[in-house]
Amino acid sequence: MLAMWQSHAESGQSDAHDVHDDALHSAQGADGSTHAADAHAGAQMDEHAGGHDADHGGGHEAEHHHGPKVPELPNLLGVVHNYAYLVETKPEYASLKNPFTGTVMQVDHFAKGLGLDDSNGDHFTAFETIIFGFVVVIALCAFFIGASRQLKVRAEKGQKLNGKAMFTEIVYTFLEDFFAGIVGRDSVRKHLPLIGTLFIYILCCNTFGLLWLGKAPTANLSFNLAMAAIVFLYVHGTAIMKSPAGWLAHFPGSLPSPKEMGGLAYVLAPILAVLFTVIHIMELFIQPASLALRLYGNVLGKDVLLGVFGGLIPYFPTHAPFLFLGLLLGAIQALIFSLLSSVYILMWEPHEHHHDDHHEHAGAHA
Amino acid sequence: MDSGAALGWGIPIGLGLAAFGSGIGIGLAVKGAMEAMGRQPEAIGKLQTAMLIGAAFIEALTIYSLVIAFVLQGKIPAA
Repeated sequence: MLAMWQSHAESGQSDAHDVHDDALHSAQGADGSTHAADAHAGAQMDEHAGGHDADHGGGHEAEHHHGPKVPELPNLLGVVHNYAYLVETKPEYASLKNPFTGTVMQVDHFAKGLGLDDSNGDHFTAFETIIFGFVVVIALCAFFIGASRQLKVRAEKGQKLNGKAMFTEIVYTFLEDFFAGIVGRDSVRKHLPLIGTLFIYILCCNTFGLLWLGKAPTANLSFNLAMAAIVFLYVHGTAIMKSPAGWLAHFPGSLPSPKEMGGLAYVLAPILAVLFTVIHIMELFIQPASLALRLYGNVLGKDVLLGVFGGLIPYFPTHAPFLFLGLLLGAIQALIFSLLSSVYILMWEPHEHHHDDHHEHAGAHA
Repeated sequence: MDSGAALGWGIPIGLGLAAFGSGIGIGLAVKGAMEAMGRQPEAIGKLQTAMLIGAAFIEALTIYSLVIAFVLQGKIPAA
């Protein structure tokens, strides 16, 4: 993944150089032209710059817009952006100019300069992810704020019970029962605000990608890494707040004691302690990375599958059978993300020496 | 064989191999879970959870190779 980011940083840089070179080149062209005295020097420069950059934009279009590298279904923002890009590549529509060089500025370079370019090489997908992510947030907020209003157990005459609240209660009960089986009944209420929210949010994000002109925000690595980072901070934050020594004791693990092994333990224990500490430090960072990668790979794979089958026959939904597969996959991946988060919480919280518990067993897999 | 052609052959074959391996792995995990569920139907909830966690870890290996395939996809020259 690092290599991917690096290559992107490089490509962004090289593009920035291109722009710079273009600007220099066109400026030189204006200076060196023999009939510069006849025409207005400034206008000449503008024309040169505009023409040159339009060429550049065209080249860019060939690179990026002649079919995205990864096939995907169209989404609302992508369609709008492609239209805007088409308008922009025509010089007569270009009105946005760099005040320093007089060259036309491309949306592309804006996005790259802001670091919003993402791994697909399709410059606008980062915006799409962020905007669609917020659309899901707003929709969920609207629903659950509505669900928390006018809570009544019994309706007065002529009143209706809050249906959203009842639905929410069913969802909540399911989630509480499910996660109580992993983190334990006594601590499930403490962790459910994060884990349950993650489940509902990821489920809605995945399902949003199946809607017409929608796009799953979870098909973006950065988005998932952000969620995994929140889980990382929460897991270790709660563990350290509970007992810093217990959290540190997790690194060397349980070492052989002289009581069980005799003198050999004095030799083995330091070696094993170093070994396990190294492994656990690696694990510290591999856990959130694999959490994010798993979701990203699954959802992107599903999107590509839908994109390939959706593009077989124009205007005909050849991908329809796979929508059901996508629904199932979205639900399972949402469940697995939240399930693994809760397993990590359980794994990293300080041990209280109850090894007969099945929770310990679940943690041992990870 | 130039590197582009090697990538063009290697990515799908490698992805298929990864799917082959984790297919066997998940099959074994689900087989074990199913047998245990048949033997002890009252433990189905716990078994399903443990099976899902195990399957997620096995499946992650294929997903890593899928991600690598996406990363390398741009390096395959157009035929």
